[in-house]
Amino acid sequence: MKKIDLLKKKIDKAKEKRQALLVELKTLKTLVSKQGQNKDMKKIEELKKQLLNNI
Amino acid sequence: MNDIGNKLPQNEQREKEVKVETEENPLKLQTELNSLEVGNQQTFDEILQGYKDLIADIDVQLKNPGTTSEEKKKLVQQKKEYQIKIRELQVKYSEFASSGAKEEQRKKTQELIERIPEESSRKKFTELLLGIPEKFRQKYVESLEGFLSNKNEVSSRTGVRGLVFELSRINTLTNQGLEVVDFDQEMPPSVEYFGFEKNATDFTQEPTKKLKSQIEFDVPVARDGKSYVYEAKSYHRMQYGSLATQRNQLLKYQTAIERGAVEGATVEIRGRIDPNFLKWATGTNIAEAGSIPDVEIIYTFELPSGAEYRFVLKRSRKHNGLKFQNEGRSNTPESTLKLLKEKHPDQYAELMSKFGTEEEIANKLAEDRKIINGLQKSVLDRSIIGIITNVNVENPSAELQPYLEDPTTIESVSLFDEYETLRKETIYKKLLTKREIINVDNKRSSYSEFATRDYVEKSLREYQAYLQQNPEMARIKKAYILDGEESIQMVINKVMALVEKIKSFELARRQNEENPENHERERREEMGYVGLPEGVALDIEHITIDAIQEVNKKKGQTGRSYENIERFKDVEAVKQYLPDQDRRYLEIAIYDPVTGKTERNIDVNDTHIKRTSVELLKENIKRVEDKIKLIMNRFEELNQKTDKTPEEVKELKQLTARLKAKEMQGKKIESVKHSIELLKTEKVAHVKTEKDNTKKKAIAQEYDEKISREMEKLAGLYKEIIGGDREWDKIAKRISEKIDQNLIKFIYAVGSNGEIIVGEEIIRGDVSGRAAHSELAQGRNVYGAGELAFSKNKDGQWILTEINNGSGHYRPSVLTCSFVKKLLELKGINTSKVEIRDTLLRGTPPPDMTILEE
Repeated sequence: MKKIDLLKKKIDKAKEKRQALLVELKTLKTLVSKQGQNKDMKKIEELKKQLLNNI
Repeated sequence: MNDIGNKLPQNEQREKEVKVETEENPLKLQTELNSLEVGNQQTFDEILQGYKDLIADIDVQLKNPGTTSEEKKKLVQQKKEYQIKIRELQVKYSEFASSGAKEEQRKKTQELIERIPEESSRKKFTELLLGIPEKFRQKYVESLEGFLSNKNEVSSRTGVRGLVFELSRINTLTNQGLEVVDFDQEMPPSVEYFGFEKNATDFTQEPTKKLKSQIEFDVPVARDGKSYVYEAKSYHRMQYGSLATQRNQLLKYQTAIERGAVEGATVEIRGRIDPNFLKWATGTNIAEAGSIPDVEIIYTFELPSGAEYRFVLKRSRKHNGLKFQNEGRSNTPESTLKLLKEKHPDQYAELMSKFGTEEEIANKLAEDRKIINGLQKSVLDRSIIGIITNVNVENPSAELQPYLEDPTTIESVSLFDEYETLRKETIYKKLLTKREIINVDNKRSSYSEFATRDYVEKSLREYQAYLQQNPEMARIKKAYILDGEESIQMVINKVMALVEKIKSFELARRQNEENPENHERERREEMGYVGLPEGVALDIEHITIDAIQEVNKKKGQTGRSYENIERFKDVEAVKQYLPDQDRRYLEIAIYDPVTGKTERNIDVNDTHIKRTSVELLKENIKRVEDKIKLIMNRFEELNQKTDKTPEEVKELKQLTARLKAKEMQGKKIESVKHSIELLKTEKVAHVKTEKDNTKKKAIAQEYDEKISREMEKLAGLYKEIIGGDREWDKIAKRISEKIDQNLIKFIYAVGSNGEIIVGEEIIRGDVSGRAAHSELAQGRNVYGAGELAFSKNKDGQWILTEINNGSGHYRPSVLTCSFVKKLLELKGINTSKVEIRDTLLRGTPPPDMTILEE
């Protein structure tokens, strides 16, 4: 039984890690989309500028 | 009445359903853990890569000329944050961080696995490798690489098979949960020991070469935190133990145990063993301990179903060997199959894919059982040594023949396959002929060299260990399990007291009979006795078993006692006893083809059978009517369908034929049904008018018979509609077996004075209180032992119908039966209808695992 308990503990730990990693992944995804948004905003600004220049 | 014997419930007790609790499986847990870890690794890699991508993106933006310095400042700040984050993650999840190298390793492993030539090995290797922690896998992958690079394909295959065998040990051990497999334990320090020169071939001298090396684990067993060495060896062509290096490894373990560096060691061998190695390891004399007294040797045997059977070839001096259990293969095929199906669906599925049908699996399981039986016998008579050491290939092809001298020279895969198949077949054949277990030499009698306290203690402890290793046997032999040291000592004392008593009786008798004036022996010979002049002796193991039962007996239970002989009768008393007896016994089995189940009605009477037949008829008529309804519905359905497949057209044709038959029989059916109804009404009316109760019953019975005759007619008509006997047999419940016997059985033992002592055999119900042959004979030698069966014939006379040698305690040769027959005749028992049968069904000898230590 000792062995099984040990494995169960390890599984619980791995599951905890899984949760923590998923949180990290979520954070990352927010960052990525934020950076993407910033970039998009910037592009729009540039295009606006170009348009204004062309007028 | 020829089938007495195999209709009797000797096996009922053992066939009772085996209950095994489903436990959480460590292998499954490990696999779950591994998949979680792999998932975590992937997520971690993804996150890390995400941050790296973000940084790369910032770098691009920084280079962009359109980016203002204000923005650049922000971006640099952002980049720093990301870099810190990456470092943080790498520290926090350090175990995932060096994933590059790991990924490469994984790829390499995968590539190697794909190169394994045999599919079965490939599958098993992958499965088993995933079952162990990642860091432990490396060793196996390296070995695999080594084997695969071997240019000799046969060597390469056997190498991989051996590796799979080794890996499967981990699996079996963790599944059984009797030992702790601890992958995290520390390696013990290197061991300095005396071994043989590397190329040595003479092992008769003490080893003198100073050697030093590390102990590596095949399977990391831990006992209370201390390491226990467990080695697995698979040698199908070469004999294990013939090389100095192999013996050196065991000498190293022996030294390590003596120094307390490890707790103990077990080497498990599959395949062939060098007989000289066995002698070297176990010692040739009783008192000799051999060269590796503290190392245990286990042998693993592959059964026809593919399951393994393991037994101990040599025990460790401290009796602290590996704790293991055999799979439940010594049970009946039916119960094993049921157990597999319910509790081990994966094993069941594997067998199904291997053998196709349940019937075929059952055949293999039945073979397993016979082989195990043969193995136990060959352990008893030591022929097991030939089985585990020799090449054992009979009738090889001309091509294979030259390689048999040294099978390691086989280089062609197809020849190797032939070698393997023939080897298995030959060994199985040999073991199957081993099932004869006659006691011919009284080797372990009370007056033999084995009648010592040491031997009794050793065999008792080994028997207890054997029961632990074979749980299904332990369930059958529950009564033989001792609960502790005190009981063990009690049993030993009891056995020694019995041994003394029997010994003094037998030795005195021998002296007496060897006196020229004594003609007892000649008299026996004249009457056809052909065995040893001293008779058949009870062996120490059976005395031990009786003593265990006596010690284990609970209040109100009968144990096993060689006293109070008055409990039993002389066979002459049977003549007066029999005439008043009636033991008619009826039993039926009802088979239902729809569910595939058979129901047994035991201990029934004629009325019950008659009633059951009528009930079955009623049920079957209902079933066939439902079936006809189904046919009609299906016909409607198909008929209305516009686009029919060719199969459906064919089916429709068949259905049309059925319905036509129905139409044709329609009138007849109606008329039979009508007459049944009529009979029923008549019956009620008729019974009512009759006042006498007995007559009432008779009338009712008369009508019932008429009704069932009509019902049979009806069933016959329906049968034609649905397509005859074949279709009928698919739905109709029926009595598939009927046992009808009137039988009394006695167990008997023939004493030295020609007396035949008998005890009535309990043949049904609770048989736990049955007497043993040893009790009839007071443990003394016999000149015949087994069973006498009397049957009642048509005229109501009891007549002796069978004499057999069915005594598991004494195991006399069937040849003794003709002597018994003569004696019975002399005592006035009619033996004209008797049949002599060779049967040792009752009782089984205790398996003796000490063969190599004699």
